[in-house]
Amino acid sequence: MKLHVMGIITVIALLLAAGCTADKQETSTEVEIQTLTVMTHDSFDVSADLVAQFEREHQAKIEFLQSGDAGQVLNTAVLQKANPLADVLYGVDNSFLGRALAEGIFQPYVSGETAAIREEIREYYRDERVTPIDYGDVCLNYDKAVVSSESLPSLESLGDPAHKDQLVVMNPATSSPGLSFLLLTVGYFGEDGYLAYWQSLKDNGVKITSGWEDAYWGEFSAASEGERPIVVSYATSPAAEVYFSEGALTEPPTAVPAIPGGCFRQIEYAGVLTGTDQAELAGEFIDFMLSQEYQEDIPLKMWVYPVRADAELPEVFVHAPQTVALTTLRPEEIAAGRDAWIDAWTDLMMR
Amino acid sequence: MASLKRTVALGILFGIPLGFLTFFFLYPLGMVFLRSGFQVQEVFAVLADDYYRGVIWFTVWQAAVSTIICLLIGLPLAYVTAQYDFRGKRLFRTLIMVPFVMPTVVMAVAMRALFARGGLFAGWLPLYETVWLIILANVLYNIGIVVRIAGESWERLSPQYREVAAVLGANHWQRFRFVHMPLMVPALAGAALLIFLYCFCSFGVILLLGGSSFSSIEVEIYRQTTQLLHMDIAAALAFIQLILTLFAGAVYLFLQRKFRWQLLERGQNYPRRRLSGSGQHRLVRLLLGIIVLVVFLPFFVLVFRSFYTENGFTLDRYAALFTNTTGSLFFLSPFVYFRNSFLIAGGAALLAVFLAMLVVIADISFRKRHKAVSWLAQSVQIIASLPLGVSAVVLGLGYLLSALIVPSPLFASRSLIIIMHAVIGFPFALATLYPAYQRIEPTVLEAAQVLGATSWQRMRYVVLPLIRQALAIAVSYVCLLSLGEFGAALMVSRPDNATLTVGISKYLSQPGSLNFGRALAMSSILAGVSFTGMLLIERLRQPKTYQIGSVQHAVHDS
Repeated sequence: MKLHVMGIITVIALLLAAGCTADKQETSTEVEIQTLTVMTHDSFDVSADLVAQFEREHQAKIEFLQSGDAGQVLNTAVLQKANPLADVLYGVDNSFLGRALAEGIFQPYVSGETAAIREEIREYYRDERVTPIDYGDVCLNYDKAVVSSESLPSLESLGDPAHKDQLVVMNPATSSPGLSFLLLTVGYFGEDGYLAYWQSLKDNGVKITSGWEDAYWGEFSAASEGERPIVVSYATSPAAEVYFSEGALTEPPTAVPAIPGGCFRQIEYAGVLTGTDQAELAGEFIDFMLSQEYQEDIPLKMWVYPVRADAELPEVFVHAPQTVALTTLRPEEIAAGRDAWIDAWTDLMMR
Repeated sequence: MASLKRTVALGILFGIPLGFLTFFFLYPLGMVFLRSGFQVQEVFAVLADDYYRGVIWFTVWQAAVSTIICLLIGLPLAYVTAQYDFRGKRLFRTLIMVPFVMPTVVMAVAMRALFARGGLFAGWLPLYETVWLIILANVLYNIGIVVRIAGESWERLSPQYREVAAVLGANHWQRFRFVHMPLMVPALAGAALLIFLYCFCSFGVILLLGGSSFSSIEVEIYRQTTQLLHMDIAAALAFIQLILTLFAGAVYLFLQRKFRWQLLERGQNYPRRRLSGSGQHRLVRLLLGIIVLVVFLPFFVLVFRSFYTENGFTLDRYAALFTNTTGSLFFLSPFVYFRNSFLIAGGAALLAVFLAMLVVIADISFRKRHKAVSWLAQSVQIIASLPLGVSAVVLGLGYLLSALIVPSPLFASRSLIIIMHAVIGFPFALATLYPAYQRIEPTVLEAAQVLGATSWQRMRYVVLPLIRQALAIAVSYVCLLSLGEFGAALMVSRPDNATLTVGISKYLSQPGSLNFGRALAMSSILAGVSFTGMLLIERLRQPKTYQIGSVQHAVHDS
């Protein structure tokens, strides 16, 4: 008698299994043409037309696998090193580059388009396994309605009483722009001086959030009900404010202060993953990412700059200062010091 | 022969859920421990560190305090809705569940609007940037669990218990303390376990509302995996998390076993108490009104702001959801987001409830005959409660790592997200269905058997109608869990499978008021969809006209 119920249960189980198989068959018909899997972070974006064009020209299908934020992507690639799920990885920036190279997840590929890359980007770090694709500058942004441009002459002045309770930054242990800002302070004040600087920020009432979203949408006075007029964000954020303004702003409500050493450059790299059986197509995809068309598509998609010197920027980027006073650190220095800096920062600021 | 059949049946009943959990939960988890260079010494190293000890203590503390407050506030609400009939009761029960689905980012925006400087409550409730804001958010998220799981179990309790106690001279307090409380332990323990584990693993709430000055085990795992890339420490923390979850699961099981009652159900012909007098009416209305207001305030703020722009009230933000401003490859219309969310939530709910039913049926129908069954059922229950206590970051990583045995087309497909959400929802389904099924009186089933009903007929005509309510709650909760889940889905999803929740986080990741407006509009849609869905499920479960209750009463009386 009870078998009756069992019968029904078995049928449902079989149906579920059949459902899964149907799912499989559906996708496996696509495998007829070459499939290239690109692993990237969840901020990645590109125009649909461009990808379709590449797929047509190379008779290939591109699958994008977005595996969390930049750190999660690299971590996944490292753990899957033996059997990579993807052929290309895009989105390792200079703060993680050392680790990526040390783990040997990339195989050499030098694109023929390398010569077109801006010299300062190309020379920042040369390795035949990775190709720079774009860069973004992490800078302070301020609310023009609250702070005047002259009142921010330097990074040091953020510790002055004039800026008491005005700054919001992100925790470098949970946020990528937060980490960049910490690296900036290490580069600017030196390993001996950065903690003293952070102590002065702490004494001056700096607010620390976990991620960019809660700093910008929660605390930054120009974008939310928050009360902090100075935030760590990107050089392009004012341009995005204009582009994504509902009331068609012509001038951004925010700006990047022109202060010495006030920005830190994140360069994002792509590479062909070790163990791929699609090395040729993977290389062609990297060439494609360096093509003028692709490079000119980057700014409005991800609000970072293309690495190609001859790539034209969209009009709205007049609001995004391209000549910024940078603080730089070498990838090797970052790889060697990062963990200790984050730990020391956490000890000072959080514990 | 019969015993062979029974063994086969038992094998199928336990085999499917166990196989499912092994393949889609234990295996991926094992892969994380295996590949991360995890060593037991690391666990002791972590435990010896003052900082981590503080983090672990804080995690347990905030979860325990949140659970206790949820129970304290939830119990009276559960009592009133369980014992009395009044207009708007169903609406109240639906409303109180909706916050469960609000994405943390959105909840954080709303809480800030209410509590940050200049906020509505900032003046007289200085919770901002304190641990109490975290606890308030936890309570708002989880209060519905007490009202629903405990309240509805309470509701089905026969009033005879109270009446008998009253006749014997028990006063209000004594009836509550010595009659209702012990009878309610299994359902309360279930609700408490879910709330505790939910808060124990909460990631977004602490990360976003704690102002980064509080860290939980989950946040620490995230930090160690994604920024510091210390997989071994992350694995050690995940191990500690797992042990604590197991401990909580064991306490729950102990309570379940100790307070196992076969309870009299409220008969259909037993009318519920009505509120007497307009005074009582007004009091209850006022109480529930305040609760709805508090629970719903963040949601009101959200909807208001999704319509209100600098140009006054407009639909612009909703219209903007349909425009692909930048020609992006990953643009999806809100309908596609909705379809994805709907398919994934529905699929996960059906799968989780189906699996939970198998365990429940197996345990209850075979327990008496085989000692081993009871043991098996317990282990399935313990394993099944683990997914709630395992970090979404770790689980997502595990799925990525086990891509070797998960066939690659299934990988990152919608089916995998459904499976993942079913794994997370399984404990909810089990905790809801178990007490309900356990309370069916054996005499009812025996009567049906004597009358010649087959197992199928007993299931269809006796059991299902009796656990209808619990089934509806289980489906609702797994759906809500899936609709709001985002961490794990983000890690194993293809862009075209993105759910509403993932869409919201995408819009929030770029500056510009249009993006913020879209996120608000989409959050309002998500909350609206959840609310409507819950109302529909509520309608579905209205008892049919055939009176199971009266049949049952006939059985009691005989």
